[in-house]
Amino acid sequence: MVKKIKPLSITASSLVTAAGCGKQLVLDAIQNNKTALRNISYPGLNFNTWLGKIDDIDNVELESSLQRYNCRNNKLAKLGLDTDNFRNDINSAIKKYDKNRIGVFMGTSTSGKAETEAAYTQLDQNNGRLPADFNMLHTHNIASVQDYVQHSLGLDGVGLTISTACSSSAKVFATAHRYINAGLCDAAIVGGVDSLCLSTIYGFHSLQLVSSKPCCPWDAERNGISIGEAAGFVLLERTDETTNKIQLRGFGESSDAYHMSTPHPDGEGATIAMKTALARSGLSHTDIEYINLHGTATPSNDIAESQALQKVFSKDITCSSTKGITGHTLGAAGITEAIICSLALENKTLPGTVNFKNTDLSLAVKVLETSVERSANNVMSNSFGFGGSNCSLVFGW
Amino acid sequence: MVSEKVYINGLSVIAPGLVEHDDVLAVLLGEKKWCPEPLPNLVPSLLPANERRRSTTLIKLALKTIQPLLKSDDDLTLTATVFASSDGDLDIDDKICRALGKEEKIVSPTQFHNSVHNAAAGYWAIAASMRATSVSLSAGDGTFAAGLIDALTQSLSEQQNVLFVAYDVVAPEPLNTVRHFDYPVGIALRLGTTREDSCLGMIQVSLNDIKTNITHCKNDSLEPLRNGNPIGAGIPLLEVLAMNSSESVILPYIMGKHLQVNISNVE
Repeated sequence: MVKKIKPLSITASSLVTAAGCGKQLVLDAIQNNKTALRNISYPGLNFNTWLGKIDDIDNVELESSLQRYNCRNNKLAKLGLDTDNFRNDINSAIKKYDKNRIGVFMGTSTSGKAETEAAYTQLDQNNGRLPADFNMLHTHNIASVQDYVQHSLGLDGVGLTISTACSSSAKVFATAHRYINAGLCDAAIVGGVDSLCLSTIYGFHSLQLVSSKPCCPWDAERNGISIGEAAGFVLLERTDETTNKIQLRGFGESSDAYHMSTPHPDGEGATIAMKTALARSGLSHTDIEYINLHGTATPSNDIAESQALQKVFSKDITCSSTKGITGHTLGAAGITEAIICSLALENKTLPGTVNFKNTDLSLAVKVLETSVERSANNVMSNSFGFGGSNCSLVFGW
Repeated sequence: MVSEKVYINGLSVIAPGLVEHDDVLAVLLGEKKWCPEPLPNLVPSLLPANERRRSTTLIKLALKTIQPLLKSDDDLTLTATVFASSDGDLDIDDKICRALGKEEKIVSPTQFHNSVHNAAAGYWAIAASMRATSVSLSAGDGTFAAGLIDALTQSLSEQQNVLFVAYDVVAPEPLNTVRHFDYPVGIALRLGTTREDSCLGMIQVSLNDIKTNITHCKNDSLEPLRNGNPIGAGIPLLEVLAMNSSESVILPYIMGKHLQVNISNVE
């Protein structure tokens, strides 16, 4: 049986989503119940959909010494590092801990795969080779984003990239906790960066999981996800070093053991993840005052999550999905929604479910339709991914 | 430095010429030269037929490598796993990128769900009814060491057994030219905080800077395998474990750092 953990404090964070660069812009969207999804085109896209695209990526230049990492995903990572004073906060942390004692744990689903997609459109007609300047290891490789972040911030401690589809950047919190506990680092940067690429857009489209309208989680007429991109970073430190900060209080990870791309219909894996996160936090289910749902807006995901919620909480639990604002940012969804949870706590604002209109009677658990001013002490964030990879996090203060 | 130690209660490796347990042991003990032969079609018997049909060479390599580490009294539903692969499924990447290069851009749904880095873990969960914590990770050329550290932290944090498997295959052309590996390699270790009859030694890890030299294989003929795939980096550790020896090995990690693994014989 899992034991209660020592919490870690969130002492710095940054977030870039389609709502803009910086946590304040996401908070504005939450408070005004506004979607950041747009019905726009994307190079190579031949069907109509809504995207949570970040236009600012186009203006990012990587450091001249780090050009080998040049790709949309690492540009988005840099945008995140240069937002919300995060880089300066890390420089202060380096003075406190030293550069080799801060771990970097990143989550992504596709890293810089867009580079490989682009390289395949330029295959040499004669010998079938990829362009000579294509650097696969530093762009497409899953770990490229953590490698880039460590170089960009001047860190050389422990690190890795977790890639478990849409739970990737939730699971990094659990990993960071284990590494700090084992003494491998004294503080940890956890983050998630996932950028638009054709593989995911067409891949989800092939499974008929992409909505033709802005995604509407929990709605009776929901018909799929809207794909978004995001970069988020959090600095985690031992709680005895800090006061009055939002804490990571619990984490729960589980596997569905059911299907590669469909959740367990009764949400069994999700139930284990939520119960384990509660057990590690030492809290009762009645202590959780808000849940940021995985809430992707596919018909089967939302049903499975509602089933799981009923098994762990009462059906009156307060919850919402913020994917109607940001889109489903896939490997960055965990970090995006963890930071949204911290914004909810700090600003006494529980987010609503943007784009929700019609109640689905088959979902026993109801969502907050619009944001409300309400203070909370403990909240949960859910992230569930392909391959049946589930992660629930508890944050509080 | 991680002060606590964990037991290595089993090892498994699959690579060209290293498939049958007796051959593997003889080569790791230096009694036989390593002779690479093309890998046979790997069939992980635990995987239901339907899933086996949908799975890929990479997934089969990962699952087939873990299987010898299972024991009859294991509760696989509760056994944590670490799946470490530097590059993931390069065959699938090739197929999807070729499909996206065509006008109609039709991606196969099965290829798409197989393209996630945690595909092998997902198939393992289905095969073993595993509901436990499972991490799928990469650390580029430092993937073997990063996976080992991750498995160690999982074992220590919950005082539990962890099945750790690291695996990478050779890319098809044209990816093979830009990310070349000489051989496919799968390595699996059974870690735990209790000593089992099958115990090969205890390990303790610490990070070293660049000044230490990476450990080479004792059996010289294995050097091309160690250098031929990011996962091959783990072979020198397997040699020491197979010999029940007490030694340190230095493995490549990230950011120019090395991982020192101190192995102590527990017999």
